[in-house]
Amino acid sequence: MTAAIETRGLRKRYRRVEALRGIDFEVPEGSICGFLGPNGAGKSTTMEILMGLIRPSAGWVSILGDDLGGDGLMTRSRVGYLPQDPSFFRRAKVRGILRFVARRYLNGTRAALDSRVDETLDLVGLTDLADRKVKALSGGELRRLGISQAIIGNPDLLILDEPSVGLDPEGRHQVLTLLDRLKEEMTIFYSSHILDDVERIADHIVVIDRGEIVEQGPMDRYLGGRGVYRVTLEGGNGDGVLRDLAQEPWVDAVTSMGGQEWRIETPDRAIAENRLMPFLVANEDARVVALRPAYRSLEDLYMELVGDADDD
Amino acid sequence: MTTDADIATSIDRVGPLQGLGGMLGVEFRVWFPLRSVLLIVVGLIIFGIMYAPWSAAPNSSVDPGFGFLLLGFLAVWSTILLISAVSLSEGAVLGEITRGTAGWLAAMPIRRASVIVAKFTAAAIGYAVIIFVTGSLVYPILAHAVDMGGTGFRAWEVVQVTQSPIGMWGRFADLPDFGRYLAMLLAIWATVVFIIAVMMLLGTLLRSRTAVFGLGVVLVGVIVGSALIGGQSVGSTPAGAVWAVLQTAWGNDVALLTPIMSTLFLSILVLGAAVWSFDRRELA
Repeated sequence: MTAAIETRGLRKRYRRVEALRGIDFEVPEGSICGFLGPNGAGKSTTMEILMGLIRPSAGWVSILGDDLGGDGLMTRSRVGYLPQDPSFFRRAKVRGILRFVARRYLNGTRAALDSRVDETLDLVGLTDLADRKVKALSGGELRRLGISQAIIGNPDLLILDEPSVGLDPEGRHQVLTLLDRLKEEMTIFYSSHILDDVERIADHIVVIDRGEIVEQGPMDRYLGGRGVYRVTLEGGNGDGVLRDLAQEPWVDAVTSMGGQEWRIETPDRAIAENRLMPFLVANEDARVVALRPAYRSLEDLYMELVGDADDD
Repeated sequence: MTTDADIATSIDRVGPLQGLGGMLGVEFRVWFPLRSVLLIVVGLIIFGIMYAPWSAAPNSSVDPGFGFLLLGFLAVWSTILLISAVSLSEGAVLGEITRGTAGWLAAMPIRRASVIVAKFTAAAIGYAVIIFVTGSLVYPILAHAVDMGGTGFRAWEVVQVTQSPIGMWGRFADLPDFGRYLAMLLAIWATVVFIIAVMMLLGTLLRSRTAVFGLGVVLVGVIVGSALIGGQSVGSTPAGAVWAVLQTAWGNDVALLTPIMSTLFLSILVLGAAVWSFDRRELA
């Protein structure tokens, strides 16, 4: 598979601090890749190098197949970027900002560009704020403007630094839904501290800690068995209930763990959530005391990899 | 029905000053409605209106034949312009960097050179408007004051109204013709443009706006000081341009074109250095 982003031996030193220590990673084209790591691990530095905002001390970067050794201007015309702290012309209006950005990335008539602006405003739910000045936007609205200016040019690669930080739950949900939609059209590389969000939509992860890549690969490699649960039943005829459950076509296996505890395997998490819980709750022969996932979550993996660093 | 004209397509090539047009649009919108610019224009006109009769008024030290009016006016006027250029452009580059907008712009398909060139061009054009419009408006006022200095009587009436504490009464040197007066304004503009270019360069090199402003003020001091005390030795430098303006205002016949051209050439060199430096500046 072609890599949308590829780095080799990427280093960045700020006087005495080595922010990146020769990192190698790849983001496959067409993937939605979560970039994880504790504060100060080097996520933003990496993204700033990818965008040509800072220069690496050593190493090599390729974006969409282009070596970033040159000015990278044509490559940047295919990349949308949301920085961690987006900053725009404060006296401009939301629509003005998007018009300005659209003209940098797109050719077309004024009507065509305005149409793209309207479409993007609608996509991020900013239509009602189109004529509001940037300086009057809240933090969450500013972030949505940041996302909209990153996607307005129909980029092939979207680089987002903490896209959902500072958003309320509804805003976060909107961003996730948007990214889920956009992944059909572009490669998305985004950093986040919200592991549930990454687990929900990413199909690839890169984990960085103290300037070094500690893990990277397809999500399924790490989070296999996402439809596996442990259930504890009490009273009545638990064995009978589980025997019935094992007959269901959407259940792969039911194994006794000893005592009143069983391990139930289903093909995936959605089936487990949609069918397993209603089935167990509906039975009248035994009471469900506990039902918990028996698979490794992204949080488990993350804590295994960088848990010590977060404790520092 | 949607036609091809209704669809925006991705750009397929980039030019040597990619994004310059858009950046110029932004900079002009920033520059022209700026309250500070209006304040400078109005301030300069009021200064011209007040200064002329104030200088033309009689006082105890009557010194007929002392040609002081235009010299005094342009010395103060150009110092105000140079300081205002420092003040307005100290944050042009560094302000964008510290706010994060420079990084936002640089992440787009916009050449960094376009950002600097657009800021410089907008400021240079803005100051051309300020200097030539207000300078042209002040010229007839100065001419009228020269006339008043010749008679003294009407100037005295003016000072009664303005309550000026000090005044000069004298026969002023003749004003140069309007063409030469415009050349003097051009020399002041060239010096302002040089200051703006230096401020851009300092903005790409330093990390503190206070330091940029301080060095800018020192530079103005050096230029004006050299022009006042350096005499002909300041030659074809920005100080030489100011010196040539003052000499012309004094009534001496000195070349204006050479210091103007050399100052503009120096400005382009400094601007080139600013572009080079900004291209290497980290915008995290």
